[in-house]
Amino acid sequence: MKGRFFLRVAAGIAAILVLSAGNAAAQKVTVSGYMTDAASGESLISAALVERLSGQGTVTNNYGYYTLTLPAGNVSFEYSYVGYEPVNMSFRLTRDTVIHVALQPSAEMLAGASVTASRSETGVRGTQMSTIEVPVRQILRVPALAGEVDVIKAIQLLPGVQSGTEGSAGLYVRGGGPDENLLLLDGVPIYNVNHMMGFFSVFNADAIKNVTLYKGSFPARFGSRLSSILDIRMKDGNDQEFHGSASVGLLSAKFNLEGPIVREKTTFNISARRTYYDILAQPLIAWAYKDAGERGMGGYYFYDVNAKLTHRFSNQDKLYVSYYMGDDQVYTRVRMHDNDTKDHMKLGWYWGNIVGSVRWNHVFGSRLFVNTTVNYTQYRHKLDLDVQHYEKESDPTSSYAMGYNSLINDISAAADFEFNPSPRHDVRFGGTFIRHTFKPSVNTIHYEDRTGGMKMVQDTTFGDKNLFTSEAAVYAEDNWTLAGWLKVNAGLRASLYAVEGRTYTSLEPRLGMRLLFSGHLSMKASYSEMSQSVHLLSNSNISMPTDLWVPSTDRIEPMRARQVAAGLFYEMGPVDLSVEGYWKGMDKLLEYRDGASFLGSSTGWEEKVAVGRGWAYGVEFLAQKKTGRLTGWIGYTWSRTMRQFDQEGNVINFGRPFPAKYDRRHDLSIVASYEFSKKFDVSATFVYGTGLCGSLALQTICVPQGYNFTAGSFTQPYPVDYLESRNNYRLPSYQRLDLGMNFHRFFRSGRHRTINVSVYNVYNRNNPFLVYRDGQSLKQLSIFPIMPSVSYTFFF
Amino acid sequence: MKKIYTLFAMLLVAVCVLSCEKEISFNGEESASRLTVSALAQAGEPLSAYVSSSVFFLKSRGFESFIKALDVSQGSVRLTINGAAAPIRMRLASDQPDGSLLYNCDYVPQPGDHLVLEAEFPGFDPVRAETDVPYPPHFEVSSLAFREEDGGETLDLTLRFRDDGSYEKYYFLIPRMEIRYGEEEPFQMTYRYASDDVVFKNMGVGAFDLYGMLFGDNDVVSYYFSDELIRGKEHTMKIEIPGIRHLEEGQRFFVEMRTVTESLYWFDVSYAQLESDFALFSEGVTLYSNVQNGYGVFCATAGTCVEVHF
Repeated sequence: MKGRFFLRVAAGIAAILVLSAGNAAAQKVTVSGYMTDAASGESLISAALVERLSGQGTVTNNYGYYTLTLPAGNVSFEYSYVGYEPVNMSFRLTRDTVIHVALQPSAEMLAGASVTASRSETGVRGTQMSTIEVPVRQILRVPALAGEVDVIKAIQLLPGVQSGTEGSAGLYVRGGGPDENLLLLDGVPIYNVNHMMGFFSVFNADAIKNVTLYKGSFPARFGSRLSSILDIRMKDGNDQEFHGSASVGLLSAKFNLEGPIVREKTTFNISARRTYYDILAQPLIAWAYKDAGERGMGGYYFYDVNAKLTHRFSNQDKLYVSYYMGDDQVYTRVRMHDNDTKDHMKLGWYWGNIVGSVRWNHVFGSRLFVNTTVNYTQYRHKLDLDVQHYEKESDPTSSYAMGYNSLINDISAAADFEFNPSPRHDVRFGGTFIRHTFKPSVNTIHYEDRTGGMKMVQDTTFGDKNLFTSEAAVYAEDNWTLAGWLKVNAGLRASLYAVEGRTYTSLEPRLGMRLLFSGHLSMKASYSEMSQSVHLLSNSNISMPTDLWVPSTDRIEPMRARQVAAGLFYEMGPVDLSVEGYWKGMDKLLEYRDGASFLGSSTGWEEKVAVGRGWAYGVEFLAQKKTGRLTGWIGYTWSRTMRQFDQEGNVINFGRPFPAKYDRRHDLSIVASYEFSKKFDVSATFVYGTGLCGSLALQTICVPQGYNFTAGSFTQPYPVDYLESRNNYRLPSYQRLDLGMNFHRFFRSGRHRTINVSVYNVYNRNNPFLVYRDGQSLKQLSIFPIMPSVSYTFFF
Repeated sequence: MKKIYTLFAMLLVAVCVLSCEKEISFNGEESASRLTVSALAQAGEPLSAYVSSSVFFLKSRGFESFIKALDVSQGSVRLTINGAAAPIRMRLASDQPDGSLLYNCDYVPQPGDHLVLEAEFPGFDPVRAETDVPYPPHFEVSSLAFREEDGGETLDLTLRFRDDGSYEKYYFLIPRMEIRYGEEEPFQMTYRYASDDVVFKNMGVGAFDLYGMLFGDNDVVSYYFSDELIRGKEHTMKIEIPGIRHLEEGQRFFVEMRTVTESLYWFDVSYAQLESDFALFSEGVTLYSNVQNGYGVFCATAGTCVEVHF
């Protein structure tokens, strides 16, 4: 079986390569090179090159590299990128040529000049649909909770993306769960993207260069998740001179430093931040304990560090080393005492990621670009409780320690090739291998009692054993121009997943098509299949560090999804308009069974979950303006997301379909920022969404409390809340207006400072965080009222 | 520095005051009240049924709410045995519990009977539930031994039984001691036990559970197991009963095994989940019901009790 599978894969990939090479026999020449920011040397991602005479074009890849194969002859090139002066050049192209282009940031662009050439593969002309690029400059201006600019919060404002509960940093894309998104930081997956229970994400905006969201219709180079790919690229660092910034806000302090180690050869970029609420709160906490006759301290904080080193060996070879580390920590230490006894209690709760990658880019000739990567990513969670009891002045007479740990480790290697054999073909192919180590949950308990001269010791460790799994995939895709009006992106991804002696294989076809009706209007359609072998078990609407990442096993098969989408794309001056419809079917989805919890028994996680299916459909509208003084977007989504668990042994909700908890019928976001002058800009965000779903027992019934095994009969009836079905109650709607203002001041030395004043939830709307029954009434808990904040950033 | 702390404290207070919990009006549709019927048919014991109505949570006002809407004079509760043409009309008991109407009959369930329970009251959809009365299991205590553990004695019991393989079954196993003081009525004391037997692990509710260990909870769910792995086979299982001593005068020790319907198992499991103190971290639980057009459960059990002498 396996042999036939690989034969089919090899045949598919060979067919793509043969078709690609079909036109390569003609006399063609290739122009290639890097496009960079002239001021900083930073590579530009998705910058455009258009050959005006033939209309052929391309965009730079994630490393700023482009390659375009054309018939030999006269050419007229325009290099462009949003926010930069275009560069034009005309000449006779007779042989393969390397042209590195440095674009200057443009004043005209800010004044509102229209940029059409720079609209990349996600615009009217590209084949890629369901993909949105958000300029980082726009993200930095979006008013933020507690002034903490957040990439994920900005992404949540896009159509097709739901945000979960108030303040949460989870992404729910086109009916998918938060674990169905592949969040890549410089190409490396990050498992836990949340700080502070999900109120903030781990991505420090200071370190980020580019953000692209694929909501579906993934190119074949992406895989291993069902719903979306969020591709975040870190800044390489300025290769000309040192620059940096330092910032203090309501919640955190942070800094960023970048510059050349060896000018135009080796650069670095480092950013770090830490919250300091715990430090400020310490005297209050100590005072509170003292008032209760105890001594204690405690708090919560998070920190993260991003670092990147880039070295250019030559124009053909570049090396990138990226590193991320971030942790959340809750800590408490309490000492209680009376005349004869004393008790010491220590609690530590830690969770966080470590991510590292080494990448090497090499250019073979002018038509083949290769990126080789070795990655490491880890998410760990640890809860330690230690209680010691002393009687008089002695050693501890009893002690109790409990630990709960979970961990996931990935080591991976990948090679990605980009090949441009002819003007009509843009081919990518490659492969990846990942070795996962899962330790889903391990509980340890140590109890020791020496009371009365006796010694009793109990040591228990139980939970899931280490699980080692392997994942491999190969892919090939071709962005194929069949005619000026017709372009196709056809790809195939074959993946293999091995666990506990069992191997799962999947073939995932990806097809995208673009019909260009005019220079400003196109229609796109796509079909894609995806599979996913890791799952996040969560039974809360907020992101808890206790949420478990678990692998598919010999009993739990990988999840699968297929998605069909179609849409119209129109360029109306500087505004990009799009309307897309989609349908997505999902199989082998996991949910906790009724009443299952991460705590409560020694039972393994496989026993606590049920396997089922889901489906989602919807329509999304987006109007986006990326240039000029006024920038932003209006996004609207109408959608429906359902789940059903009706297979024998996997029944939830008695097998009946139920809405997913993040099912939201209407979702509207308006994001706008206006630059009055170089010294002052304002921004506003308005969001409205139908309420999320929750489970609420609407009826009370009087039933026996169970089987009385002593009496051999039912017990006396007693009232209990009866939940008729899962997610049967729609929470009140969500709406919010945020405002922000930036005051900039520029100094002659080239330095400048920005004071940001923002107000979250301007009209103090009590949005629902939680709705629950309290006897005969219904109560709503809201967590974020109107929240003004101010931050100060100094750039040098 | 003092100013910073003052500012911080003010901000904290502001957040606490402004972020709020408030009562909200219910914006959904009021779901209809339905009849709730609960009955356990136990082989060899007369059958009783509890009947009440469900109450929309905003209208619930104590036990009275669950029977107020039931017109007893017009309502009826009927039992059909093995498809008989004429159902038995159950009668209202003289001693009524709080919050439910208790209906009795003279019928005594027998293993193999198929029962249909129907209730009809004006203003409510008629409800119907059915169950089969299972056969009691046959088992024996094949060995017993005491051993010292953690400073106390533990009784190891080996049980041998054969599943008849006739249909899917659930079993319930409980050791208990009957204690009699003088002429008084004896009382029953049940024992918690542990077992590594695969039949318990297969239920996803192993005999050992963290919650029970930390908080001393006597989780009844642990005492169930299914015949899925032993259907039609002879099975020998070992259970460990800690904290037990030799029998004294007036004490008798029994091991009771019951065959229970799947409905009783799921009802008990879902009830235990509903009442769990870990509900904060859990998905919402729907209490199991097999009553068509209504709520509650109609289930059955048949038990075998073996006395153990030591």
